[in-house]
Amino acid sequence: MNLNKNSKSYNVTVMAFLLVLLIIGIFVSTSIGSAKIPLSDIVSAIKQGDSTLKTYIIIMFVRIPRTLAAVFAGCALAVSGAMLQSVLNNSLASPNVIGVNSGAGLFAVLIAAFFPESLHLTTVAAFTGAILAVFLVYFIAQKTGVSRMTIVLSGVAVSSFIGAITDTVLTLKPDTVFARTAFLIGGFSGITMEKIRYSGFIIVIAVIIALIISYDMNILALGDESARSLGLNIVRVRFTSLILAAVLAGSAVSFAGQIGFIGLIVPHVSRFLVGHDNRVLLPVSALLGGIFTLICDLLARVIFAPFEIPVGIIISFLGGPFFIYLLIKGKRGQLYG
Amino acid sequence: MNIKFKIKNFKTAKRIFFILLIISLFTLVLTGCKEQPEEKENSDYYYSFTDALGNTVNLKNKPQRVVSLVGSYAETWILAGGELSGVTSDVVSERNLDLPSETKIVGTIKDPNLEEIIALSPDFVLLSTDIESHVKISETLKKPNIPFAFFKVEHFEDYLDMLDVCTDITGNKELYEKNGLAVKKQIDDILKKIDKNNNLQILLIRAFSSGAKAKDDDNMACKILNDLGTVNIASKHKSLLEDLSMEEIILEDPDYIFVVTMGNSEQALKTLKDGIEKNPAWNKLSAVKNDRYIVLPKELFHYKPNAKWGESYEYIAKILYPDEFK
Amino acid sequence: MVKLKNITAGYNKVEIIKNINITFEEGSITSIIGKNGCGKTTLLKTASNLLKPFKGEITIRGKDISYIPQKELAKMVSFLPQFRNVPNITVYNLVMHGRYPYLGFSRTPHKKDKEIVMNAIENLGLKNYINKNVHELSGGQRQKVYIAMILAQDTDIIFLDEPTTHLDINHQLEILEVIKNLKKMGKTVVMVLHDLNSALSSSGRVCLMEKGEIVIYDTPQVVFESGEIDRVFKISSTQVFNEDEGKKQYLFYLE
Repeated sequence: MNLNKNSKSYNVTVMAFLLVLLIIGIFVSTSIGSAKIPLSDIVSAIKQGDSTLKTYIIIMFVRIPRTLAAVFAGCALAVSGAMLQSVLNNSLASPNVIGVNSGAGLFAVLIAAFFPESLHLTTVAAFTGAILAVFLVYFIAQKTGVSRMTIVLSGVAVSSFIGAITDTVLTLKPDTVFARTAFLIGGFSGITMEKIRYSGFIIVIAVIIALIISYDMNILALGDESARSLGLNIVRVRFTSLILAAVLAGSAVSFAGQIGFIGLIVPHVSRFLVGHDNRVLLPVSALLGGIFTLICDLLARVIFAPFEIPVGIIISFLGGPFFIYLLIKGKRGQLYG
Repeated sequence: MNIKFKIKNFKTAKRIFFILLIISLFTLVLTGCKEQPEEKENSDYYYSFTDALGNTVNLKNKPQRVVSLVGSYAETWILAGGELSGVTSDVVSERNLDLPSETKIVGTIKDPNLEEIIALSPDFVLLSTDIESHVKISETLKKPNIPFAFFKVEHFEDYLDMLDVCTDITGNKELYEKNGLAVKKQIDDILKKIDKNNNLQILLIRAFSSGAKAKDDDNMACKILNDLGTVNIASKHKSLLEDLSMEEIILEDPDYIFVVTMGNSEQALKTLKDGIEKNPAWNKLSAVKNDRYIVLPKELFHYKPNAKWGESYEYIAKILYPDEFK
Repeated sequence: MVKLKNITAGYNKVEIIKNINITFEEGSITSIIGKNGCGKTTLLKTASNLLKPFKGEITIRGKDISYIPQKELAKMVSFLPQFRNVPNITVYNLVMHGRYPYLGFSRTPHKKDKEIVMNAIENLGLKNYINKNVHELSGGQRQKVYIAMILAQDTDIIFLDEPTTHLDINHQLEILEVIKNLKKMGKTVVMVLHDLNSALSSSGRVCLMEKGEIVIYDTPQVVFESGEIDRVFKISSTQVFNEDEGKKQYLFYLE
């Protein structure tokens, strides 16, 4: 096998390895939890399909939805971050930068404050808010010519503004505070299959489309003029990438709350492993994002069982130092020298 | 040009077909099988009632393995003569309840652990309407048809209603007498003795380690004060509910100022001391000058006192009307 | 074959170039020279359809450029900007980017694409660097990679914006040789050059610009003899004939 980092066989090996790791991770996550259930019980419970058996209930209604949610959210946020970092040519970009978190947060709070009977709509509302925020960011950036810089600046401005509105709503209606905290911290406890069903499919389709345009994103990285002279419709590619990034992040945030950091750090690690070719970077980010989030969620619910640590804390604890290590180790994390 | 046009058309057609395929697959799955728990149409239930969220709760059998996700509800269940398989940690940290070793801790009140709850094979789970994670948990409990009920207890009447339901379930109606109606009588007796037109002005402050706010009618302690014939100055100055403003307090100069702490009591009181109490005008308030600035015990005025609700009324009555209540 | 008629163009409603009328003949090498800010790059960008003109018409072999779809145009015209991002990929992949206009929906290169890329790489003597990361190369080698990419794009018309600026002298000369080879392949090359000597000695045609307008457009000999270069740049110039090489060189000095 050619161990040259840029060779095809290396890339395929890495992806295969990560895929296997993910499958193992899903398996482990389903087998381990706060309640100690021996493996043989799990297998027989699933075979019997008896929904009154507590083992069956825990596996099917608690662990599996949670595992899937972590994988979907991790994949979505990682791919979203990788796309943004490529399209905006900014390795500090993350879904947060284009307003996803703040938009989702505002709409979730609006539901909790003004329509508390419809709390089940929070998922849809959060997703809508995320998309609308991104449209607003793009619309403003368009006024100044959609360059990478203006999108980031516009995103920061819009996020602050939306954040201020959210805080105002919370001040005027202080009873909604608890709803906001839960959403702000984020996590996968209490997830049901219904909540992730729609988002999960949106995520799968969005990732597929992202893979399809991944080569075009490579061309975009050459610079606007070179890309245009090669016949690339740069506005369309940039816009599509942003929309996909928003849809991915919005879907994840809608059921997972505002967990940050994954979209920022996973692409860096992926680039460290396989370089900048989006055709490889995006799938690797997806796999790595799923694995990382899965592990963090597993640790969150197992370390101090029966007490659960918010998964965001584990993510920061693991991700932060590792990120620093990457930064120190080399300039590989940056897109451009 | 002709051939190019046809090829372009074909490519577009292929793309449109591809997109339509995805959309139709998507819709198919969306409208596809939904997980519906089998609703057995059996009207022979052991007990049915409507819970605080308006849901109809049907219990097929008398619950033997009860899990309470709120410490105060756990206590109520015990007062109703029931036993608990699982409780949340606030039962120990806030209530110091003595529980048998078989009772498991299933997490915190704010974040109970679903797996632990289910591992106990519960046949009845008590939830609070005010806690978001409880609402989420109920959605998962629906699937395997684990019975649950939401309660909302803010004032004594709520506790009484809940005790009524619980004693119906446990069958120990005599405990409803002892822990419910007797307390009601205790409270009624107290209220009979006071002159409702006294119109003592009071202010209730809830202090926590990062600040303090006034409380009004919704709050449990305020209702007690209200029932005892006082006027809460915060009802006239709603802004006090957000921020304690010295001006408004001076304006009303309440006869009594009560404090209830939340969280770390020492820290909360210290914050008060370093905050509003440092204001030079503070010591000029009548309540402060006449030693009517009183810190109320948490167990009676912050946590739900349940069967001790009568003691809460008595505690304040003795302060407000020392002559009537020796 | 590339004809600009009455072109006026600029940025943000500000006119940079005006009344441009020029035809770049098929198979010729044209250098555009002029002082900084006179509109050389603007002219180049407008001619390659990267910048929409305010007024005027551009045609390629008689066809109006604004009616040619972008992808089709990419197969006819290529443009190498002066400043560009240096992506973190291998030499091979960067040159393969030049085949983008020809790749289908699946974006997979076919045998023909791979052949063209290999030819381009060999043509520029980059075979040994084929799997190296572009970041690791020197400025001159990197420029060669970009030109290999342009070569792989296989267009009849090539626009280059200052392809030799900031390069070491040996690389500069190498690049100019490569460009002369492009002409041998029948391509039409239009480039902006800063170095007047290179411009006059390696092109078939020279276009001198001043303040957004074309002062003179003719063979190097005619342009030199017209004295316009001296006037615009406020210098003096002489021509020397290098008998060994059989080439003309141009020297410039202050008045």
